[in-house]
Amino acid sequence: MSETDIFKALADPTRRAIFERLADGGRNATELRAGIAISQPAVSQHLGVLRSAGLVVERREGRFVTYSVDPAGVARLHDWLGRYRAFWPERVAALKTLLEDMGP
Amino acid sequence: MTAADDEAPSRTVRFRYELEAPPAKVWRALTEPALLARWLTLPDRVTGDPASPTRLSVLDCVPERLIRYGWQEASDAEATSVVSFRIAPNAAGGTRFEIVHQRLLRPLPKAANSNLRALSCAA
Repeated sequence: MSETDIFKALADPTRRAIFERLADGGRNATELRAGIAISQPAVSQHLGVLRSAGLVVERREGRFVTYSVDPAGVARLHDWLGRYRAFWPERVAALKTLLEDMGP
Repeated sequence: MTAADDEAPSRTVRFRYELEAPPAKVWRALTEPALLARWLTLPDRVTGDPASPTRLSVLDCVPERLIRYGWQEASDAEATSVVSFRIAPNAAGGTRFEIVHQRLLRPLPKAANSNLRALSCAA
């Protein structure tokens, strides 16, 4: 599961809404659907994509299944953002130095 | 880029700076390869190996206003993004400089795989 899978998984607004509900804590599929006009198979499909992207984990206890956010997946989501949030200020510091060295 | 690509706060980083240098000088530093190489050292995603840097390609250019680069990380074929540098004169005789770096969900356009040396827009 690559970073691209994570970004693609969250590009769909319904899937993102489902993921954000999970951020409040583990839920079963019925709770996830509440208030969204979406069928059970559609929820299952979205959860499948989120699991493939490493963002959601599924826990089965007998007939009961609950879903929750996978913290490792969320950390990977912030990887790219974190990396470039640190990268650009350093590069601009180097740019400013270069501009001074370039003379008038 | 589609409209949806513009609304993507979860995969965009933005910065704005006020630079003392005038726009014409800043433009050179953003577009001339020899000058770019002196400040925009490109990371390799995994190893930081300068022998396998990120590749830049020119996507878009409006002289002394905007240069947009495709950004392809060498060690991850799927890690594509677009870096936009926008500049404008500021009231102090310097330059307002905005960086927008947006992660893409798809490969870079084929036409954009031009060598950075073939920079057709340089003023």
